[in-house]
Amino acid sequence: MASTANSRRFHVRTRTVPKTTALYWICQAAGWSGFLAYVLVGYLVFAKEHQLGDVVTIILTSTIVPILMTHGLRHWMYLQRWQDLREWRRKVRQFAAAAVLALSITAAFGFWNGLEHGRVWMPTGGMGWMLLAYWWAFGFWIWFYELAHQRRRRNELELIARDAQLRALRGQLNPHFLFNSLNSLRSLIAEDPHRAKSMVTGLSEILRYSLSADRKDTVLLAEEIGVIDEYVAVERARFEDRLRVEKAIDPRALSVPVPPMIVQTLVENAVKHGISTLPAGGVVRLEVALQDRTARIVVTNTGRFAPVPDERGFGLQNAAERLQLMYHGLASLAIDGSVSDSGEQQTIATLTLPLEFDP
Amino acid sequence: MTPLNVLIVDDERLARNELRRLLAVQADVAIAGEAANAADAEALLRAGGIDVLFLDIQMPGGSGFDLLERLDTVPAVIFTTAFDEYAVRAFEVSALDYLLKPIRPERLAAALAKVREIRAAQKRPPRERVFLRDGERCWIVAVSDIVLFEAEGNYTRAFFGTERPLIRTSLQALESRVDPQVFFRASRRHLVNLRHVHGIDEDVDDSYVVRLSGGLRVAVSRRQSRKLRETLSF
Repeated sequence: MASTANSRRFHVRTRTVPKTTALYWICQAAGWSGFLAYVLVGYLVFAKEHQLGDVVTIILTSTIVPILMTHGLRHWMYLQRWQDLREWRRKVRQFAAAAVLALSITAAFGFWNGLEHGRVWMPTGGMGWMLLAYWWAFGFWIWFYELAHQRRRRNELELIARDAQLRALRGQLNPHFLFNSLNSLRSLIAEDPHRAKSMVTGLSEILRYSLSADRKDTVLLAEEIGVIDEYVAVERARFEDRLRVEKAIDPRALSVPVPPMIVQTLVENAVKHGISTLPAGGVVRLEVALQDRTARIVVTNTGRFAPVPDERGFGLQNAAERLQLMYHGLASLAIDGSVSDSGEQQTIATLTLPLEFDP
Repeated sequence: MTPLNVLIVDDERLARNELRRLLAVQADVAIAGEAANAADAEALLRAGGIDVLFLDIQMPGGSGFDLLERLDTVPAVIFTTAFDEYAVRAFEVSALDYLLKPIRPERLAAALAKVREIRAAQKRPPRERVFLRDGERCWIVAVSDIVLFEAEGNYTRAFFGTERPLIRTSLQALESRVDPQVFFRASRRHLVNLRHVHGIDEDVDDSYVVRLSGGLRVAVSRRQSRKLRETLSF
């Protein structure tokens, strides 16, 4: 059976341009009004004679035309996904974009007006200076826009993180797990008080970790694996020998920073779908390898991959959204169904994280 | 007082043991058995003698609902669930209860008291009940309350009270499961509960139309009209 037909990708990639806000238009108007004032003063001071037609031209070329140009640039930046580029690549493009816009407006102005009358109203005069002034203005526009964009993205991230905190209790650490564990615990207190005690500490570790998950962007993979061990121990009290876990972790990967609760979510999903639905239980396998400057984290479980869109799939959707926001598309999460070498159905979740990343 | 024979169905051993301990203090409760999955539970239930079923909803290899759907007649059911009480609330008409795990002993006692009350109120033997499911909604309904089954393709619509659920069973399969003394095949599409027949009108061609509870009217085919006359001897 081909695995590709039976797969569901969780990449959240959208090529959309965000809606403009009132603040955006206020900044556009204010910024270019300032530029207009600068050019007008130059005209009034340096031009030998003053004409109404010149003033109209100045107003057009200092406000409406550059506003249209930068608005177009804004669309272009989003459609080309500049926000996902590495910093220096983005900087080069921004520098070039400012130059292209400045050149084209200066050239258009030159052909239409400047060459004929030989007049430029820049305070310092001359076409070269005009080009520089526009270049500077467009460059400033891009710099300011990126600053605003980053601020907005940070706010969005904060929102998502807060949401994730709630989901940690409601979704990621799913209530089924919590209450079934408490029920097992109640039973263990009578049967095996010693194991009951260690289950209490294990559950506490998991709760503490999931509650603090929203306060940190990343944790060391070693910490995440530590809490996964606690989680597996608690689940083993419930599922007993139906739950078998195998781990193959490259020790060099233990110091890799990972977003908290994401690997845990993958393991929990593997247990939920691979163990709790099979009467005889199954195997959950966690593999971590370093490869091509990325960490590949693979969680495999026995059991058929059933890509049914249900409300519980949102744990993975949430994970994919967080990855996209944190890593700008450099991380990926994919869930696939396949058949193992021994002919067993299995579900494979593959998480790829960049090793060097500067958010 | 005859003891209540209970069956515990839960895939987790610790959960079953906990329920056993909770039930141990109930003097008139006898634990007739336990099962870790729907298939084992079905076998035990078919063997008979179970009065109360403690049923976990989420289990590997078939949910608690799947189990109930496979049974011809269901005992008193008390659902035990960790979180999804909303699933139990899907029930429209029911003489059942649900307990949230971990279970409070007082809640368990109250649920058992309710079962005893219902049993005392009913004539012996207790009324036969079936589990019906239509999408998200479920019913546990006494067979004697069902007025009519009507075939809709491979499915069947059941009529009882004001409810009209469409169940995923063919009329053929249903007919083989109900008492032929009570349910009469009026036509290719209709299976009528004779105890809900309030009147019979003559139609053309020597055939009849039966008037049922709830103002339902069903035309009886010509061949079956003759049989109806013989059965009811009028």
